[in-house]
Amino acid sequence: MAASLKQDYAKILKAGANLVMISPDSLEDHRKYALTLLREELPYLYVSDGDLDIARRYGLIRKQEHPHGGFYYRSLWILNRDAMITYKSVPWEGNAQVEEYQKLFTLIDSEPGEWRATCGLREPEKLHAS
Amino acid sequence: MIAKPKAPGVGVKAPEFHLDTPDGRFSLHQLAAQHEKLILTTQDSYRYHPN
Repeated sequence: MAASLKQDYAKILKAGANLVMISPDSLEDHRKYALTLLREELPYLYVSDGDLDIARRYGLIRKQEHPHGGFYYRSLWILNRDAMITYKSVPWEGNAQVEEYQKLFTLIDSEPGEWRATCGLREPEKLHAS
Repeated sequence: MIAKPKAPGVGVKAPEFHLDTPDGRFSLHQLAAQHEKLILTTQDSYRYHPN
C-alpha cells in the first residue's frame, strides 16, 4: 500500500487533504523500509506508535495475533477541520482490495487513486535481521 | 477495575496525539484544522506486513 499512497499523495494534497501514517515502527525503520523497497522516502506524514498508545486509544489492538504476526489493525480514518471523525474503517483492507483503496479518494473528493501492490516481498525482514 | 477505552466512532473528536511535520510539531487537532480533510491510516510493523 505504501507504493500506492506514495504515488497518489499529490492527489491527496490537491484535494486539500493530508495523510498521516501511523505504525509501531520507529521512524528510522520506516525510512529504511522506504529506501529498501521503494528507493525513496515516503512523502506523507508519519507517526511512530512504538508504545501502542495511539493503537489503544483508537481501539486498534487485535485480540489475537495476525497470522503473519503483529497485533495492530490496519485502519482508515477521515477527520474534518474540527477533528471530528467522519469515516472509519477497522480493519481497512485498502492494501489488498482495490475498491477499498479507491473509496478513500471518493471520500475526500479527489481524482481516483491508482492502487498497486507495493511488493509482496519479504525484504523488510532483512531490516531486522542484523 | 479500569475500564477499557472505548474505540472512537464516527461523529466524535479523534483522540489527540502530537506529530512532527516539515512545518513543525502540531497536535492532531491543529493539523486537522489546516486541511479540508485529514486521513489517518494505521498498519502493523513492516516486519510482519511489508505492503
